[in-house]
Amino acid sequence: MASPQRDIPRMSPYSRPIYKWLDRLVPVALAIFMVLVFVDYSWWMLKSPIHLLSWRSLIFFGIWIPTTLFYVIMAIKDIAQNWNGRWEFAGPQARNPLADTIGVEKVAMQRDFFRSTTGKRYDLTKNPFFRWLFHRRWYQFAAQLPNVIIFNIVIIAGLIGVVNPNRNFATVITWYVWFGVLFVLMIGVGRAWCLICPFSAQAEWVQRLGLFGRGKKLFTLGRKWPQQYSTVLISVFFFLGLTWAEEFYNVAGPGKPAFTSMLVAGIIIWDLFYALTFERRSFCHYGCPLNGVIGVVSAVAPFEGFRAKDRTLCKTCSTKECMRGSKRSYGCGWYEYPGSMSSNFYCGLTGECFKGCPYENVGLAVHAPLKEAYQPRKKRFDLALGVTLMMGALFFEILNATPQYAAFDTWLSRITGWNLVAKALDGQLSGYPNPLDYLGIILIWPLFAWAIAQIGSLLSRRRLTARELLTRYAYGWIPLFGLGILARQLPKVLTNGPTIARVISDPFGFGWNMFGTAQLPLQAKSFAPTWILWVQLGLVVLGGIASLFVTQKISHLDFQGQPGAKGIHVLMMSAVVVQMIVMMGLYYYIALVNPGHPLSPPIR
Amino acid sequence: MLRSRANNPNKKFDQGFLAIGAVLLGLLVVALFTHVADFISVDVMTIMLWLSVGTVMVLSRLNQGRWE
Repeated sequence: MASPQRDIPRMSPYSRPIYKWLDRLVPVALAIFMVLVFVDYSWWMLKSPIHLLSWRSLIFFGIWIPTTLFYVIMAIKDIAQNWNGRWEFAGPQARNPLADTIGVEKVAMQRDFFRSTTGKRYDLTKNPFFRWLFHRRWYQFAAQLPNVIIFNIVIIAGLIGVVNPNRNFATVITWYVWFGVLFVLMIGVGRAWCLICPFSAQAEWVQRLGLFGRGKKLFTLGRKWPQQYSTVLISVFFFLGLTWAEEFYNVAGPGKPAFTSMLVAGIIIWDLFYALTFERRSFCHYGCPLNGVIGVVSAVAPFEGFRAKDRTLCKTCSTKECMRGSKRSYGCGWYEYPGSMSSNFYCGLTGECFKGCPYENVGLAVHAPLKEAYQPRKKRFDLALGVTLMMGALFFEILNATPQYAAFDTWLSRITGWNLVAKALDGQLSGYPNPLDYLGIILIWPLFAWAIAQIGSLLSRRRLTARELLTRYAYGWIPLFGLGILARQLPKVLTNGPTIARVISDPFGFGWNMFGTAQLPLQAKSFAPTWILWVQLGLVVLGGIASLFVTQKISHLDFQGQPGAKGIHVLMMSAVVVQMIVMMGLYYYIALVNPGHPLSPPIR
Repeated sequence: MLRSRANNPNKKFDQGFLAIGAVLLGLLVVALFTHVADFISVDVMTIMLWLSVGTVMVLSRLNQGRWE
């Protein structure tokens, strides 16, 4: 079985001088943009009626001057080092002749493992523009820089801005805009957020001592994360912990914007610690609270991530530049090997493998949505457990808007004495949510999943283990979780999001008017149309149907012909339907009984 | 079955982890005495990360790191 020869150009379609200059000038323009933002903010800060030596000014300039200086120096270094055409299209090496013999045999042996490559797909890198773009070293930097600037302003705004969350850039951009956009990005593109993440960007720039160039030395101890502790559950548990902290401190508004600053600054500091201690993007793998959520919800997206076009070639490649790096690329920060990737779970879309592959054998394909949830033969138990835990957290986030939960939580905090502990942690907080009921509600979902997996195992007369059934069928919950959590964010985003127009002109609430939009008559909750509830319910139904589709596919691909398969299939489909109905009922009930809650637009 | 302490290949990691835990606990005590709310909140959130890693370390030792 010979693999088809691919039609790859030997010369770049963008080899004319204008593109070479574009290649040089884009990083220069980005560096100038960074300086301009700094100058503009500094000018407005100096113009403000506050004393230059006030604590607010000191915090502002204490953060802005060192970070901007660092980035500009690094940018100049990278531009100078890469001025003479190092980013040019290299062209593919000749195909290894062994690929059509040894490679084909090896891939044929693993055909079942690689079943995720089947079906219709369109490779974006067939398009010359995308090929040109992904080859640029500044491709990721250009995506990251605006976000880095935005989130540095978030830190400063939270620390020095006004306390009113609806007039503070930190709260508005983070919780009314970012948290909604984040889920849309996950569902639409996969790990697009990881591509533009400002937290890992800054840590990685320090680790590489450069913004986009390929440096020779790294500024890190480069320790390896222990293999035994390599699981996505760290990220899931941290997500649960931070969700509790977010509720406890009321970070997401209308709490104090300073807490948002603390959270963002905290993530950058933790990320920096990991980057200086461990190799590559260890924080993204074993620390980032969003890693699990993004990875899981990415399975809904129609992007399969950077992956080998022809695996036979990878089987005979002895240099593995995609993993190890090359003269023009770093090794994959996410420890991925495109030659054996079977899902997009850990593809951070950095494009390093694309730049590094000497055979131009890495592509970025688009295919039907949901495929990444059911196609991979290899499904992980920790990921399945993570899905059930996060589903529990989502149901907690919906349940906590009910008056019954509020009464129960208050009662529990009183009898357990938790309210006294909460007062010690912060005198102004009530103690909501009590960690016991928080964890108790979340744990219902893994226990529910385990119970139905045990019933499924009984239906198969114990030929299939409960662990295997849970591991495979939990992937079927992913679409319901992804769209359910998007529905959870919608009211806050849609009702408060438009206030962004005011705060971008006056980010700190000091009375600035940078873009002339500070006085627009936009108030929080003035955009609370009744249709939001119906959009929420629609998303849950859509998620439920998608989950049923994925569950059906899993039954077909992973369990067809197995003992008790039909009964197990009905059982697992029923579990999805029950969750969908409960979720819809809760969203409707909240809107009915608690119309003033930020989660619940009124029904008229 | 739990691995014995002598054979633990992650001994240095475990020791570093415990040291960081001690530092975080110390910082929490200082923060509670000084009543600085922002300091307490950052420390509490960092402890969440520490606890997450710790929970996985315990679970991984119980199931010998079998997550697939």
